[in-house]
Amino acid sequence: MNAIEISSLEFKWKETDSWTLTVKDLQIGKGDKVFLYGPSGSGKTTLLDLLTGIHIQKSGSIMILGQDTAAMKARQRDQFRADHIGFIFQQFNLLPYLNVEDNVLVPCHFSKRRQQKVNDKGSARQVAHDLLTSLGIDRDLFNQKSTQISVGQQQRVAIARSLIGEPELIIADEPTSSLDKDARDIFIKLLLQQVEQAKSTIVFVSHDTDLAHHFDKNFSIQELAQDNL
Amino acid sequence: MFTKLITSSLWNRRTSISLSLISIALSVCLLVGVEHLRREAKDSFTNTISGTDLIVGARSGEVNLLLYSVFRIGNATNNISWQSYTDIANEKSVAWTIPFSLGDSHKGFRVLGTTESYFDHYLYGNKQPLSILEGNRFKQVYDTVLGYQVAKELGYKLGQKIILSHGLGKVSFSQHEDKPFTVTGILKPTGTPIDQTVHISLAGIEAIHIDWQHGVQIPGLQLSAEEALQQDLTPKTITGFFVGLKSKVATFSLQRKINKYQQEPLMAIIPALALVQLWQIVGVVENILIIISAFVVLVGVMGMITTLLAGLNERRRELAILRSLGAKPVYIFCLLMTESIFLTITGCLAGVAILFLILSSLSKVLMSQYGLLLGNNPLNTYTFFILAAITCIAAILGLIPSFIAYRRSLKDGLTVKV
Repeated sequence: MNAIEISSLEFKWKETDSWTLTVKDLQIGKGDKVFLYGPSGSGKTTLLDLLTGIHIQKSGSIMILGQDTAAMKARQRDQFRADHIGFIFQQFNLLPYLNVEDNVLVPCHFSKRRQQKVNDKGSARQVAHDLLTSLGIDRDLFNQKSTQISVGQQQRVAIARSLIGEPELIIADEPTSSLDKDARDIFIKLLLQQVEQAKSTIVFVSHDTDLAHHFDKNFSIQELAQDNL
Repeated sequence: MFTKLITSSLWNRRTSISLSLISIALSVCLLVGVEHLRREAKDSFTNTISGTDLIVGARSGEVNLLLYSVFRIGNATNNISWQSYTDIANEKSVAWTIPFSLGDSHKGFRVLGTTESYFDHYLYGNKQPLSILEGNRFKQVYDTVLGYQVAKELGYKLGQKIILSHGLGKVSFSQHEDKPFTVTGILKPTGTPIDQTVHISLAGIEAIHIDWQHGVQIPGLQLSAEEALQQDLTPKTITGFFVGLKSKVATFSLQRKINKYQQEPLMAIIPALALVQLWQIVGVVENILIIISAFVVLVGVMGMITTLLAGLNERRRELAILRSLGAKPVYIFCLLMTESIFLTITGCLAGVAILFLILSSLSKVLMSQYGLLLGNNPLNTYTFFILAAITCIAAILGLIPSFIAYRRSLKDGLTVKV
């Protein structure tokens, strides 16, 4: 079973739109580290919304972890996302009013499955601490408000949050665009290390082709529309 | 975690949130306070007299009779004869009577001439009898028992001599200076007009007027205080009297009998009914106050909802993050709903707390300065009903931001431009 399987996908925002997102055939295996090149305006956001079940395609199929999200009810899709997908955004990833530790723990609140996985390893707090420590976040930052730490640290906390409870799929949407070069390299290194440890699959979307070499596979969104992939 | 999300998110927005909390608290404080005052005023109003079945006086208006006999407001149109009084007092159904005479004053406080029966039978509030704070009832003709407020305001002590004035009003040119009265007793506060009354015996009233006619002293016929005591001090007329019956059943028949009394035009009123009648006149103002304060609360709640709505734009990102972490749109909806209900309940509680503070600090001042007895517990079932209603309104209005957030979280998805 693949992590992601897309075939003959076509999506338009409105019937009258001339722009169409097309994915002929995409297969991402379990444990793959995939770089998806998407310059702005290429439909990157749309694709991510489709992958995560925020929007539903009218034609074609998307299978995530062997499940057809389009066939689910909205509630089930939300729960599926909470259980199986971890997110890292471009910036402002964290809830400003929670401290670092609580930010990491939020996904467990929404997913019994992830909570259970964390419990199996010990206490949720301990798991969060271990993750944060391995991502180079100092212990004395754990109780800081997420707005009081640097952007680089915030993005690393976001990694910890996406990985807690070991969801099968990690989606990172331009997570390095707010980082400088040094922070960016550290970030990617730590991210991939942790993803590997959790045996998760990662789809890393960026417009920065310099990062492509860190990953096993790379595609561009434009390529996906073609047959010969 | 749900609670933590709400509390820390609210704390994060504490400036705007606390402002809307204050506006709710103050408006709730106002509404419950006004309602409390209204109830207290009504209670103290209707409790001014109790246990009296009929008030009898010269024929005039019902409200007028009630006003001058119980509230010491206005004047009797006429006196009634001692003969009529004894006639009715001797009716079989009558248990007791309290005759009284009004018309004199002391430094603006009304003088009530009466008998010891007044101390035995007059009840106020929840059928409480009058009780004496210090001293005794009047025994001698020139003894006087002061209401609490009179003694307090004028600083009178037992044994003090006071001079009564003929007629009403603070400044009077005709004084009964030849016949001073001695303070022999001071009553406990009642929160009724009794506190502002100077009580003397009917004989005392008779004695100070024995050498008077048509409101002036008869020249050349002055009698000293001692000489007056030698005279027959049985009153010829009185202003009116209170009647207590052996059985309430007789109330209406005796009232009819008095109203049809042949020898003199008399009128009897049932105090409880007359009080309600009078309250209906006064009560309109109170109702208007209640309506105004209800609107103030509505404005307060709307202010809070506006604050929440305005905050939604800043929180768009926050809500999208929650969505991405697995929060269902319903969860976002509940989050917002809980927020507005929580704020309203907190506001209500704070408002009631403020009111408690105000009442407990104010009641002493009100009592000592104005003789107003104000209960300092504004809570009763009706108050809880008001608070519940406010919360319901807030919940209904809270649907607006909650629903907008719900819709937005469906539409925005996970990627919101900041």
